[in-house]
Formats: sequence, structure tokens, C-alpha cells
Amino acid sequence: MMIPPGRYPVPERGLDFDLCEGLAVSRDPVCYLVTGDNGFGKTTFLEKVVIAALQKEGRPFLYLGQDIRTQLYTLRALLSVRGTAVSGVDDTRLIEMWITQGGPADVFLLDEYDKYLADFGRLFQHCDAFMRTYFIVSHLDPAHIRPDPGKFRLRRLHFELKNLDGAVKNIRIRQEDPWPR
Amino acid sequence: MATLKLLLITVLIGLFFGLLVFGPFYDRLAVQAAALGGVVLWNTLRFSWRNTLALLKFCLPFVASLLVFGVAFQFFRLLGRDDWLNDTIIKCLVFPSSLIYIKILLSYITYLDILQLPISMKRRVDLITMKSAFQRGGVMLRRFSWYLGTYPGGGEEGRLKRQAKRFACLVIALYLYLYDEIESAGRLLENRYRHLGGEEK
Repeated sequence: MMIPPGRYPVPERGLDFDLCEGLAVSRDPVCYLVTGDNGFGKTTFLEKVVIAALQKEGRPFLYLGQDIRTQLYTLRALLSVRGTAVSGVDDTRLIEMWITQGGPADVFLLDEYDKYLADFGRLFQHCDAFMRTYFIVSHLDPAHIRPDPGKFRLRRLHFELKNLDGAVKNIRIRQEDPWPR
Repeated sequence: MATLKLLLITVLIGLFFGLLVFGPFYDRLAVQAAALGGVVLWNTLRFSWRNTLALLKFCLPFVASLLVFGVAFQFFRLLGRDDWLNDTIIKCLVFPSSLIYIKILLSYITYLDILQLPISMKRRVDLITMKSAFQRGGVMLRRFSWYLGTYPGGGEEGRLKRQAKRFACLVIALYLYLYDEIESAGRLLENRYRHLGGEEK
């Protein structure tokens, strides 16, 4: 599937995105590193545009949100209802168990995962066999959070403020290649 | 003053349950419908239409399952009764209206009211903690529900089973959250109180 270029207004959050280039979410492995200043709507774009598009296409995906502490309650509940023992299981292992049960999901969105759990390497290794597309929001040095560079085409999605239209921020999203060094 | 206010709220809750839930107006469909309309309007005026909609949405799975059972029981005329549907419809009105009614009245109790109550500091801390946790729980519920809607899996299950599981997850997640929140908020409040020199327990 492809999220086409164009405008994506999210008025309830006071944001209007201008996606300069389409986002391919296909079987070809690709990793998008989402960067930009705080308040430019990176999370909103993931939740209101990317996830909405994936849901519309019926494409299974996994999303670890920025408020991961909140999300962990739902993961514990979900795994319990599915009959998996989660008592005493630490958070990293819990996430791995959830990923394993993620079925056919091959798209993974990680929103500032490093704020809570820093070990990206372990996560990438765990997903290596089945993940095809990553969206990663992080303020860390990209060199520390890239999945296998030999396998994944690496793209940077950079959010920048185009202008302010009253209370609405017009945000341009540029794709950059090669990977920033 | 705070004690009087709490007393009045308790009396109003008692009256509602005494008249509409366990009392003489329980089986009056028109009265129940009017009560629901009234509390919906009250909640909308006190909070917002969005808040009211979210509450009604929260009640929907309970109401829907009640209806399913009511229709089935009516169809099979369980225990020889043929008033299952009428009784179910009443319950479908009573459940959301009593929930919303209690929520509205409890929202009038402020932290200052709790602090002015003639009870021990430990009880006050417990009440403040409960109020804070349940307030945040309402906000969390929407976020939990959103997250659960993003999780894959269960594609081979029927829609009803999937929804039931999702709802079970929502309740468990909320319970886990409230348990943690009450425990940590209580600890925090108690520590601060001690730090400020509070002695009374």
C-alpha cells in the first residue's frame, strides 16, 4: 500500500500536514525514521494518518505509543485474556510476547520507545524474521536505532514548520535519503 | 458545610435508588426513559456532549448484552414468563441512568470538601486517592480502548467474540491501572503529608 503525497489536515489538534512524497508500506523492507522538533505532530501523524491508513486497508500492524506505561496495562490484559501467563513478566519480555502473538503484522510503529526501554537491538532482533516496515520516532542518534542496514532501505521523514495559519501549524514532511549521519 | 453537602449527595443517591431502581417507579417505562433523558441532559450541561457520548458508548456493550439475553429469554418464554422484553428494556434504561447520575453527583465533591470532613487524615488520604484515581481512570479508558482497537489478532474469531474479548481486556486494563494508581498516589500523598509534619493517622 501507499500513503499518497498531499495534505492531511488534523484540525482537532491544530495541525495540517503536507506530505511531500508518498510513503510506501509494502513487502520491501523499509525503515522510516521520523524526526522533527517537539510539537510538530509526529505522534499525531502516526496515529491520525499512518495508523488510520493501515486500518482502512485492513493491514495488520503493531504500535508502541509514546505513553507506553499506559499501553502496558492493555498488553498485560490482552495477553491474560489470550491465556498467556504474564505474572512477574518484565516489560521488555511482555512486549516481546505481544509481538510474537502479533500474527501477520509486518509493520511496526515505535513512538519514542527509547524513552522507556532503550534496547532497540533486542527488539529488532526479535522482529527480524517478519517485520517489513518500521516507523520510528526518536530523538536519539539514528545510528543507535537502525535495523539491519543491509536489509532495510532507510528513509528519514523530517517534520518542519512551514508556517502558522492562526492557531494551525502547517507542517511539511520531507523524505530524505540517504540516512542522516 | 462539607459534611452537609456530602449528606445531601448521599440522600439524593438514596432517593434515586429508592424510587427508580428498587422502588415504586422501577417498572414505569416512561418514568425510566424520562430519568435517562434527564441525566443525559444534566451531564451534557455539566460536562459536555462528548463526555456524555463517551459514557453512553461505555454502557453500550452492557446494554447490548442485556438486550440479547432479554430477547432470547422472551423468545423461549423462559420460566413461563412473557415479560422478559419489557423487563430488559427497563434494565437497559436503569443501568446507564444510574451510572451517569452517580457520576454527576460525585463530581460535585471536591478535594476541599474531603479535607474538611471530620474523619482521620488517613481516611481523607484514602478518599482523595480514590477520587483522583477514578477521575484519571475515565480519561485512561478512552486511551485503553483506542490501543486495544489497534492490536491485530483474533481475525479467525467471530465479531461478537472479538468484541467481548476486547471489552474484557478493557475492564482488566482499567482494574490494573486503578490498582497501581491508587497504591502509588496513596503512597505519594502519605509521604508528603509526613514530610510536612503531619502526625495524625
